[in-house]
Amino acid sequence: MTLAIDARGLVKDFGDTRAVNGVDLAVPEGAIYGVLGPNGAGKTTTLRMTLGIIEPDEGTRTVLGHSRPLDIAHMIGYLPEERGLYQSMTAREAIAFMGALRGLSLAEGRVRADALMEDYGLGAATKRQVRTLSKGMAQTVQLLGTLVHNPKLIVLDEPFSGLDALNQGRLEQLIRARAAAGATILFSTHVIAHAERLCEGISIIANGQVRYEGSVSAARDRLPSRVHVRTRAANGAWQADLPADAVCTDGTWQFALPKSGIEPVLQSLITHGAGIETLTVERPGLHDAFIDIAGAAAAEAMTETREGEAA
Amino acid sequence: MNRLIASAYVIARRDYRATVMSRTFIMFILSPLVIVLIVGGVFFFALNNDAPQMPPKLSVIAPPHVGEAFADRYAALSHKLDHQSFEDVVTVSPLGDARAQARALLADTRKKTNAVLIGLPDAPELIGPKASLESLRGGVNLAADLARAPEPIVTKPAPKLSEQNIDPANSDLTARREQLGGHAKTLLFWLNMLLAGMMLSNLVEEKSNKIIEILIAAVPVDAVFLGKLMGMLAVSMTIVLAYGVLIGGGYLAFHTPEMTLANPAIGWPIFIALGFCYFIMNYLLVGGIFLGLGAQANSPREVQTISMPATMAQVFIFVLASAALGQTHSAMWWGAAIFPLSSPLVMFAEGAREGAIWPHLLALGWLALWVTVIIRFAGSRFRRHVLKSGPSKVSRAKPIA
Repeated sequence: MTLAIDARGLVKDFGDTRAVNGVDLAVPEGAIYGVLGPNGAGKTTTLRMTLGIIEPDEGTRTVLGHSRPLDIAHMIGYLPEERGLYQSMTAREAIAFMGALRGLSLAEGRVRADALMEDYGLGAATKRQVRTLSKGMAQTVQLLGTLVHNPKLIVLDEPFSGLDALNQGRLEQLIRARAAAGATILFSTHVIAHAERLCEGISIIANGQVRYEGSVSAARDRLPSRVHVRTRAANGAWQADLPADAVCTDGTWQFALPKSGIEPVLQSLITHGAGIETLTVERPGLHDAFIDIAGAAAAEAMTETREGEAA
Repeated sequence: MNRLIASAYVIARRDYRATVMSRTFIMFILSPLVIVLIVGGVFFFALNNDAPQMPPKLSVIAPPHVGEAFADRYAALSHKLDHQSFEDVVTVSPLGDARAQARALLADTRKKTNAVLIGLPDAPELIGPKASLESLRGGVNLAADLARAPEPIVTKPAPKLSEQNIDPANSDLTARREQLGGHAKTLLFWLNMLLAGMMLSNLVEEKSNKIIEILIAAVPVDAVFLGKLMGMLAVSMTIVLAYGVLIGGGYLAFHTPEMTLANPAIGWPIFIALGFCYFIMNYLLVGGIFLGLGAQANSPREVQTISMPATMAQVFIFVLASAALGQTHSAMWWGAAIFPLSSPLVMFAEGAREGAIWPHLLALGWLALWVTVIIRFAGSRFRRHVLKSGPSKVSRAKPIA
């Protein structure tokens, strides 16, 4: 397996604060890979070091086999977390300019810009100045500018933030299409759902360190499935057969799926006439895995920002 | 290296277009033009009211009867010879030293005296600028000869007309070349003062708009700086060319003899070419420093704050260069010629004084070296202090084949 990105032991201090503390990142070629973590976890700094925008204080990285990513700028597309375009440029010129920065001719960039805008349903806005576009549209223009030179590696920093649900869905489609065409995609997010739907591999970063690295399903498999049982009878002899970690809230018992399986519990419930109203066995979500991995505090931080965004 | 230039070109091209193809720029170009037109118009009318048109003339300093005798013959000749190369004659009574009086007459522009004839009747001497001497000498010679006697009979050998060539303005060429050098230095300073200041705020848009992140993710910081400098240099050259054509055209159309500039020792074509070269170097040096300073600023307010000391520093360097020019080839002169920020001013002025080209080639090479140093230094400061990048491993890193 060839790695599109291979970063080892990245360390970055800003003054007295250690923003990134020995992060490793291994992104296989052709993968859709997510970097998860709450705000301020060091995701952006890690991406910037990986791309050579800033040099790490310690550690090494190679991108598509090169130790100086700027040398292969034409093979990389990068959407920064803080979006920015020249306000006086038209959408077409902005996209063509971003392509020109990465080695595309302006003429070719304009042709592609028109096609990309048309495909994205923004054909009418190609000649509009960036300052007249809505925030979401400007963000889309910048995204298209990131992709105009058909990069082999696409790095997107919080690409979903600031987009409505409809546009988030389109962005997911776009990411999948680019990956299907052979590009490697690395993106950061603090919204677990996106990573869960898109990513083959993830790294969970909290407090400047990688807490988990691997596939989403492996992350979820770290936790046993959860069992939820609701009974008509509040009490009974069956209670003794529930696992030790069982907790009752509002008449619903919750516990981790025992090693012996659900059948012995089920047997006891039936035998003692508990009266089963509902019984579910759920595979844990990435969110639960995240709590397990990064700690409740980090998960809390992510939930808060997500709610903050929704508000 | 090629990629650096290509990247810088992409950035320069955008900056140039964004600046030149804007309504503000047209205002910028046109506003001084309007001022020049208004001031020019005022002067034109003022001059016209002051001095009604007087045809140029030949003054004769001689006692009235001698002068009239000459004037009669001269007028007769003028009539016979179809007015070619003849001018109106005015007789002026002598006041002591005839030569000094002649110079005074030539210097008085309102009298429009083209040449002065003295020494009649026996030792005529024609005084004036070369062009006048050449066109007038034949007629004056004949008329002076004829005027010696009441009858046009030659009894004595014809007196020989002697000539003295003097320019109306200061005839000391070295002094005038130094004056030209001073003007050249002042022009260069003002152009730079007006145009290089733009560099201070040049990165503020990118920084506040976050575009800087897109730029530095795609191209080296040095290419961003070089591109910004080149873009604004191109803008400045556009402005200088526009004004140069305007001012040069105005000079050629309206200049009067006393405005005539001395020919620079190095010759006009090379002198103008040197002017462009030194302007470019001066702009890149000062602009590079300003760009580097401005890149450290976090807000337009901080840029405003540093612009005052930056202007003061420019004025100080101008004063230094002026003082050095007053003492050519002194230790101070050498210092100012070598110090990169005053060198363009001093060396451009030197082009007016001295004819050798090689010192300029040397100076331009020296300045180009400093431009490189400044861009690299500004780039590394930006990486370290604004981006907070770690130690660069560029020298150790080898691309993996």
